[in-house]
Amino acid sequence: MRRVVLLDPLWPLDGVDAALAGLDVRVEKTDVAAGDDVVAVLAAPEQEIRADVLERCPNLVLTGTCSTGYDNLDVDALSDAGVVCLHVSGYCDEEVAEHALALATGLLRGVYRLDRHVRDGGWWPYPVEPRRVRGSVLGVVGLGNIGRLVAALGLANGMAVVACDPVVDPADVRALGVEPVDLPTLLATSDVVTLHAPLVDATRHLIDADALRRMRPDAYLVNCARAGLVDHAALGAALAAGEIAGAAIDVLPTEPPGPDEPALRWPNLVLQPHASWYSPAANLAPYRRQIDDLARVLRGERPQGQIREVGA
Amino acid sequence: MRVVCIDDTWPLDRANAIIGPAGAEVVFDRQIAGDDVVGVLTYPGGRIDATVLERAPNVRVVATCSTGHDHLDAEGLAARGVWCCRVTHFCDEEVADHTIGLAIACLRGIVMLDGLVRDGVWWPYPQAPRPVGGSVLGVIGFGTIGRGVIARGAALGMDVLVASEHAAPDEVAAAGGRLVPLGELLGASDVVCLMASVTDRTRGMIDAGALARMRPDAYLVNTARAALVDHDALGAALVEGTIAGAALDALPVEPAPPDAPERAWPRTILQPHAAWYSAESDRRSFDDAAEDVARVLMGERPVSFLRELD
Repeated sequence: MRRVVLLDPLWPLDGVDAALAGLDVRVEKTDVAAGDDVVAVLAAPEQEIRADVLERCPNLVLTGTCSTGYDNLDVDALSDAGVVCLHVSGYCDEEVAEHALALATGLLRGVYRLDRHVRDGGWWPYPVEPRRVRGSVLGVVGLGNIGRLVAALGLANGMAVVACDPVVDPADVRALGVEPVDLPTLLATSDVVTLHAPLVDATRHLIDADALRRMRPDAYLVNCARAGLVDHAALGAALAAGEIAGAAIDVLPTEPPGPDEPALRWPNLVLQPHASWYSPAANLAPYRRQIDDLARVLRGERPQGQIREVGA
Repeated sequence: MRVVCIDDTWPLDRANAIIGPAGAEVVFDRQIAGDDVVGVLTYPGGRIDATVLERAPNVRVVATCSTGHDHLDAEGLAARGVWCCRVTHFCDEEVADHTIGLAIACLRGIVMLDGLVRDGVWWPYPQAPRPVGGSVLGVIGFGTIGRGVIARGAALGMDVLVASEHAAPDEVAAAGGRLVPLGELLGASDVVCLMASVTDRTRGMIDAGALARMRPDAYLVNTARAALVDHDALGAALVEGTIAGAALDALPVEPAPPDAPERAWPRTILQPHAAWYSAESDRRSFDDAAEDVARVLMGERPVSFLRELD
């Protein structure tokens, strides 16, 4: 019998057998995918599937990540070799957008630092100046589905919104009520810069030491996308030097972080456990959607979440 | 002539720029005494009543840099011919921003999650982040700030319920909410925001009975006054899990002493009475109060007084 390998030990198995009934596969959880009988390998976003899987699983048909971002898959090498690469999108767009806006609002109003300040015995004066949300400038980097929702929420919250996205027509950006700008302008004008770009070669370390220097000293950075968009060490240096006012990050280079994660000691930083995607409804959706897509591929149907066409 | 300011954080240079043209100098002093004292600038921690006239018989105006005025005996001072002024609406936007910020911080679990990561935990979360859009925001009170919170909640896609004894259903609908009885609001809301002032009818309105009506997954946000809430009952509700959590910008004793019981409450965000603050509102609170003092000293009526003089 052909095998479907789940690399994620937390993958919920409820409903999986029903979804794959009659397809002559059995599902197995293991941390290494290998064998002639492996036809599919599915991963969590922190688990990598690289081209070497092709050698260990010569009859591989499909790989997938149960996340929107797919930087953990070698999509080009796998697709070139004829392996279908799947991701899931749209199951948590509202959640991520709302989480980013909540982090941005919380930073502008100083909520986290003020809570810690009270618990440390402080009261007045405040260690951080709460700022007006209305009229502040929200800079959205990346206007995909989530970026557009964040822009809409920012506008609804009374913020002025600027955005940059190299593949979106400026006229379409203006139609959203958002001012299209280039990245240096966005960095220099925003009270809060929020990242909603995919992690690809062109966006790796998009926010480096130079970009951080372009930001206003009273500006905040929000990253609910991927840690690789930011030069992590440069962010730590910018926070320590007070080059920016603070940051809130939902993604770390190593997740979960070890006790030696340097960000645990950086000042003016809000840390989140990769939670922006979460709601009770969004929790099970990516797993279910990916298994449904797997079943489509095994039945010879077109999947919904294929990243690119197969073949060199 | 002198105006005595008993608040050592008051920016005296700006107060003097505003009051100086009226012929008085603003000085900081904890003692209000002398025939030359014509006005007093105070703050919520500085109680002023008619006994001030025993030491400073020529005081004509007392102004506080706050909206709350429990620390002023407006009636007693008015009876002795002293204008009693406060500042209003100087921080409406800020409080509304802060309130909605705390409401969505509660729903998304942000402060709790930050603490979780720092404690070495990653997954699963002890309290699940929830959607903001489609959740029910309960706003108690329909003043200027309450309307600001209603508008913000509606703009974020929340279903906004409003309880107020002073509002008509069509006014509330025009503001973006739906007027309902208090009991219905408490039973239906994901987040309950207190936007009422303290009166005999509202004092302690969030008591054990009100908390028991709230959903076990609901949050309470208080950026108004601590006296609206029975804090013993709130502490018990949080410890027992009657409600999911609270965000408090108003405490019974401020600044919060080291042994404040709220420090030990679970799932609670504590704020140092900061919802009112921005650089703009901070300036306005002092300047608006000083401007009313200048008006009185120049023989004009103040703009924001508590009692008419006979």
